[in-house]
Amino acid sequence: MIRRLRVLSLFVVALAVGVLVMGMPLAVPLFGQGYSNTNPYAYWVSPGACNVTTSGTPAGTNGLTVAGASTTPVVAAEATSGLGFTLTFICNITPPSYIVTSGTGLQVVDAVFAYSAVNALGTQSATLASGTMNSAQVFSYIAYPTAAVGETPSTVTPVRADSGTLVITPVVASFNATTNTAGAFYTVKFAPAAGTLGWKTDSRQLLLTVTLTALDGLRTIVTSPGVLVHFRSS
Amino acid sequence: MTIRQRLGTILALVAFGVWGLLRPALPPTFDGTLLTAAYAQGYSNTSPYQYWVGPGKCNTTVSGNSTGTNGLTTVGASATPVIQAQTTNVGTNTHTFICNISPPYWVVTSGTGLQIVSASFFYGVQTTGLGVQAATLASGTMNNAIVFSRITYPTPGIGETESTVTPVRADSGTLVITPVVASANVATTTAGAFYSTLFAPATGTLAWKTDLRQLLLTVTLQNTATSATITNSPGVLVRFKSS
Repeated sequence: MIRRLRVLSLFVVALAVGVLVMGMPLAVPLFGQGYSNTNPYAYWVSPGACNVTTSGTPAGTNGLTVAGASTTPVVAAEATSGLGFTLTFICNITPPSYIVTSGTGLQVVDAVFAYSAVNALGTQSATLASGTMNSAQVFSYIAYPTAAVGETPSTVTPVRADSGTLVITPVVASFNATTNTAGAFYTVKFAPAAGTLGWKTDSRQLLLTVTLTALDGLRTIVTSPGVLVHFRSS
Repeated sequence: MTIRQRLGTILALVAFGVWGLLRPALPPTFDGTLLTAAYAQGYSNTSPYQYWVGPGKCNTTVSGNSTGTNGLTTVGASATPVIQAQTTNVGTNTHTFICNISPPYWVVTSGTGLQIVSASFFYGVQTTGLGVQAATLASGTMNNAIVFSRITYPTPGIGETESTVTPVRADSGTLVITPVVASANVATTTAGAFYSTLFAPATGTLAWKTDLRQLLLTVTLQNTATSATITNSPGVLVRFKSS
């Protein structure tokens, strides 16, 4: 009887070890690479999740269209000549994931914005400590009210979602601003200061705003096939 | 304990250990563990991950004679959101749907990465039925358009080389289209009712393991000659699994 109990207890221990190893997220990268700090989750935000505005005089197509010989789906912004006008892309980049309310929640690592300038762009500027590029808040959020009787509506102006020093790659002084072939794209990466863009609250919408300054006096068209966002868990 | 019992115990330990180690070779479900898979159906090779690509992630072009609504709209009594293409009765036109179907997942760079299993494209046809569809399966094309393609974007940096204009075929080998194009569903549908066609790359050939890439699905539909035609799609259902 004691021998049988010993064998049974060994089976139980073995089963527990098996289940523990099976349930350990860290075991995943050993044999099948999974979600980790060095291998963040990535999702594409398509043009349909974006819209555009301009401080210049809108012309041509402002909105969803296609670009280039391969008719890549894009969102386009176009304005006529003016002094120092801007073209702004606003995208809903809210992570399509479950809500991690514990710890620091989900962490947005960076957002890579792809764009194509049919006409050369002007000089770009940024105030990294304020998280702005060309005076527009890059990462912001809208906190929607909880569904209830007598709600207070959300605020009109989105709130900065990150804090600390924003990193833009390449730096704005070296921005890729020359003309592209239609349907060919550059990228720019926006990385919030590490750990400052936590995502752990329900009913919030995360926005990426990219404002590009045009060259003075030139009609300008910029298109974007979307944004690739990387995030990880806390 | 006899030698037989000891051997049995050791074998049991090894078996459970191996089982525990190998099970995580499949990516975990969204809750970060595989325990759910053990007790409720989860993510596996036979039950791949799937995601909907809504019409907002697609756009349309026509070969000519555009009219009416080309773009996002709604269709049918239930106002189902769709992406639409519409042409007149002049000439013989094609309607092309291009969708960004990049998997919303972490980038698996090891092994063969993520594997796209199939993509079901849903479509409705109004006014006039479609014409004869064609495919060159070895080239992965339907009506001369590459079905699965990708764009590789440059790494953000100074002096980038822009991405190439023409997307590159993303799969290889023989594409499978179901139903076969000779039996494609081409008759008109009630507005808001849809057919489906399934595109499956040759097994294991559509691996997804590189950052900064965008995966596109292109579906070109051949119209009947000199017939006004409307086609619309509520989107694409994509299935993928891990290597």
